[in-house]
Amino acid sequence: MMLRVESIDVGYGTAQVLYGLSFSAQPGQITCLLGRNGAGKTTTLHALMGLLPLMAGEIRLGSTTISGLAAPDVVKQGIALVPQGRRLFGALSVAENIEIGLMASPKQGKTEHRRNRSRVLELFPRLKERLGQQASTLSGGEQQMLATARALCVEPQVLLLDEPTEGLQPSIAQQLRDVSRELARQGVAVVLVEQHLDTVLELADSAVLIESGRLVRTLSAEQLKNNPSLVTRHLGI
Amino acid sequence: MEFGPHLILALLEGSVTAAVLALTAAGLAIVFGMLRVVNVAHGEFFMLGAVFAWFVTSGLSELANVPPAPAFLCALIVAPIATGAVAALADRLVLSRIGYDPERTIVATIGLLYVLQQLTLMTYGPEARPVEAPFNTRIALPWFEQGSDGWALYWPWGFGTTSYKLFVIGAAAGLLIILWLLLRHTRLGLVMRATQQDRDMASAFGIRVNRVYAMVFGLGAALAALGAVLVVPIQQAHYLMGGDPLLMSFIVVIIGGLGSVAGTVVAAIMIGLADGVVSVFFSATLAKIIATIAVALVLVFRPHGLFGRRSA
Repeated sequence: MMLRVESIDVGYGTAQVLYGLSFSAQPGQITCLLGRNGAGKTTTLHALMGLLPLMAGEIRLGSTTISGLAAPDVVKQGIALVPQGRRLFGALSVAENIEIGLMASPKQGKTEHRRNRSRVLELFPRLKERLGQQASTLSGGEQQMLATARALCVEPQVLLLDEPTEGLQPSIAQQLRDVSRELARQGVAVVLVEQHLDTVLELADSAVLIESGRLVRTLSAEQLKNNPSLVTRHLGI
Repeated sequence: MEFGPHLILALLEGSVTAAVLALTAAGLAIVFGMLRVVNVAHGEFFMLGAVFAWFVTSGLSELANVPPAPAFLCALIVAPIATGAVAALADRLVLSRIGYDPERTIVATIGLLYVLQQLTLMTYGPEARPVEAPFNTRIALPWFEQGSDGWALYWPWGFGTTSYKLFVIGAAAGLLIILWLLLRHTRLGLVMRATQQDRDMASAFGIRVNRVYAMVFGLGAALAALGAVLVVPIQQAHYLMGGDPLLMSFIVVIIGGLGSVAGTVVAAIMIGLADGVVSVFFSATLAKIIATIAVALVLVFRPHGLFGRRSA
């Protein structure tokens, strides 16, 4: 289902961060949000997830308006977040973190849960070996895998990824890029916040350039590849 | 009586205190651990538990002639549920509306303390009223003495306890095990632990955080009420009885480590036993003074408590 963001204003208390931001994320495509630190990328994802209220504007998933819904209702609509810094439930085990994700899945029932759990563990076999381990004791790469697995348990139609490869060793970063591409191939609309130019050029079907909370322009994959300097400028590299 | 039997008696008394204190303080620790609310009204939930127990047992006894044991069993179920419901309502009406802000919740729970106390005074009255124990058989205990023929058993006069006091210790231990199972091995416990760690992420994974908070506040109050129902046949129900449990619970929670339920239970056992021994051999006031000095020392030398984690 298509995610459409229309002229949203978002802020923290009275401090406004986003000003009339608009873009859309198509199913089966990876949409990258690009911008310097503090441009409002994470704020955008939090607003999409219902963690921050809108001051103005509208967010729609297909024909359903989801702006105004609280986060627990947004996730039930099929939107899942892999947050920046992973934000796992560190004192819980790997299995318990996955269980939390399964609870948010629209498909409840023991058989569905078992199937769903096996599916995400097939994607990240290393987690299968560490099910009883406390999440905070995992390596950075394993924590990112768990954060992604937890979100995939929701069986999302829209997956929000906030700098998923930040600080990871190249092989794990590549594995996560492959998973993102595979999810898009399966019809999920992926919204990716990313600072690495290589990742952006490899994955993005379209890119939304944000500066100081405002939309600068939207680029197709082809435009991105033809103007890497434009991307570099907006990433602040 | 010799020192040995005297010490055993003191430890038995201390075990009863420790059992009730562990339940009551566990409630306070859960609320602080999850909501970061210093619940000054916790002692009033203890008092409400005792008062509800009196209403249930006396009502059943007078209206339906129900014997003490089933009436007490009803009180053990009804009083914590009713107290938990009052607490959950207070959470919805007051705490959630001030966003669980640490400073404002202290003031709000002080207000709640007086509201509950005065409402109880208006409805229940100023009298201290007893609740009949479901059973109260005297159990004499044996001791050993060395005579000319070696060690021999004998029964010192006054050396014994009651079946009800042993029941209080056993019931509290059982309830704490149930609480541990609830927190560690149920879906509800998992949701509570996840919410405790990251409210926003819990919310992003479909957990209704405000409902969890109301439930936790209710559970904390219900634990205090359970402690009160167990102890009310030994003490009496009175509208001012919440002060002592509140002070002792804070002492135990601080010594155990703020928010650590396991630490709280261990600290309750230590403080309860020490209270029993010092009260029997010296005086109850001295026991309170020692507990208060202990908490002051912990605050100075180990502010995160004996079993709490140092905050980053």
